[in-house]
Amino acid sequence: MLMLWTFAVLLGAVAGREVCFDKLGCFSDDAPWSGTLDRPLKALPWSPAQINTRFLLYTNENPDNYQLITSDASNIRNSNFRTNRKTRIIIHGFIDKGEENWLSDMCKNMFRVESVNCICVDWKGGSRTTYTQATQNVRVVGAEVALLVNVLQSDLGYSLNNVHLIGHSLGSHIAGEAGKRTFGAIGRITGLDPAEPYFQGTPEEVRLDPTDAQFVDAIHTDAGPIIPNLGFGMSQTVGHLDFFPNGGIEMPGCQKNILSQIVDIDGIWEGTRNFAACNHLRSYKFYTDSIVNPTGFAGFSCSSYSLFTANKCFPCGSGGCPQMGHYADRYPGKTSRLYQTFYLNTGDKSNFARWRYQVTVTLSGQKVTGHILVSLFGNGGNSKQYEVFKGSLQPGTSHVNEFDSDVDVGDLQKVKFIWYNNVINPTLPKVGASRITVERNDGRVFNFCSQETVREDVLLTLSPC
Amino acid sequence: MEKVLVLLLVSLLAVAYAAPGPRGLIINLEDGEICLNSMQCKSRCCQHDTILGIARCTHKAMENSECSPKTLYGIYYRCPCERGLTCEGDRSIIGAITNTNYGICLDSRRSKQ
Repeated sequence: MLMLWTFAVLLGAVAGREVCFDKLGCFSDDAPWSGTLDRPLKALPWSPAQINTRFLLYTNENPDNYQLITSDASNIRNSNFRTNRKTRIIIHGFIDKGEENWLSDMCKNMFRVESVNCICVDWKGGSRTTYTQATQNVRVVGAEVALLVNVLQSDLGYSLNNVHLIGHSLGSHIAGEAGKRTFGAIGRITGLDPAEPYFQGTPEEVRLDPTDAQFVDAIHTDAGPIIPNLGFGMSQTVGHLDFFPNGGIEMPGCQKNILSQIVDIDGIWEGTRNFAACNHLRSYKFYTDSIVNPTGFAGFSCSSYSLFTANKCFPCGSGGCPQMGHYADRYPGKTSRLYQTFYLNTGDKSNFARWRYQVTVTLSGQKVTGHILVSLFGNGGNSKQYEVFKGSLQPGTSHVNEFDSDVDVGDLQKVKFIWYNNVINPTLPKVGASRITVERNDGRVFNFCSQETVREDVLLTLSPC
Repeated sequence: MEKVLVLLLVSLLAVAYAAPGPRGLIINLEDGEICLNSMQCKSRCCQHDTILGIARCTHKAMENSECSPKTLYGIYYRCPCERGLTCEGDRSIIGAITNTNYGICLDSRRSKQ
């Protein structure tokens, strides 16, 4: 049987087919595109007319209604496209469409922070088919995006440095294809959970890789294997910076019971999408939230997520932490090496931004068994109470932990301490914290002291030492 | 419209019952899961935005944010406060009936000082 299969593959390889399209070039079904171990089924991409790629332009002048633009210079000049602005092109994935809410919502968030040309690519004609065929259509859509970008450059004198491609799932590889066709001159590509099937482990010419643009970053949110996790995203690193939020495999808030998942806060349709592919879709939600939270997605350099959760990767290195998402390009070391990996934790629903703090509590008072909670107060606001330790509370001992606050407290001004144990304490024991040290992810340390002790469920306020 | 939604919910519930999901539907619910009473939630607060809206388990209110005192209803527009905090605000009989006695979470200790 193996011999028969091998023979069939070899026969297929010999008799390669090819299809050519005006302005886009030729596409074959030879290796590495198909007829390989990763891609056993032979297929050719559909024609541009069949895929019907459309470019929906939103700008600060028309944030709610798109203008259709084509790869024609006069058409672009007649639109709201501004050559003195950056251009960000958002590309959807398998089964999705360019008019889905998440693309225009991402544009709207950009308009809140910058003046930008935001183009949503609609290739639903090529994405709503079998997965095998969609992966071939990726090449044609990539060529169309490259054609648009080249027209901007040659006819409008627009610099490719100002082009940013943002692709989700198969859209990541479309961005990679477009980047290759412009020989890596595009300023930036962001891969939002690049699709795993038919791309993981393939040669670089097939998939997104760091040479496709001057700067490539990726967010991995569904990196578990297809079997048994049904993970749709790549676990393989593909950019200069690769972020693995919450470990990159299971996202918080994606484990709700089925009823709560489908009846989503944003409606039944969004809930159904979440039910089908919650982890995978988180990547674009993180990106959208990162636009309006410039400091809320700090990624920590770490060799694994388990080391990160063991609190071994705090604080940031000497160059600071890169911000996952929109502001990743502000990281000074962004292109110093390929395949830099970063880990962080996020929230379980929008707003997903979190700020990480390390807390060291030195106890005083009496010895009891219980839980310790700490809340932070600063010039930026105050945080929730976070559990730092549970177990035997002995005076003189110190306990260290890290937590992810959903508020950026800023410069710390005071800390509050509270303990409880859900047990009736007839002796009314008192516990205090003689010292609490808080470290921020930039390495700055704040010290707070107190001489007091408190009973259960009473807050103790610690002031700077 | 509401009938359609109710029918859909009943259908979903039937599906969920027939094919149990990874989590329970009734108790020990995580934040974001649909609830009818706060006792079902790990966080001990079942919160909705409108009287007919879907309620979800939500974290308790932190210091300096809006809150409600605890009530027998077991479901809130604003969650009660975290440990060591008191919900300070105006109270009224009508507010108690309509569950709209809102306030601000403040340090219980500070209140005494």
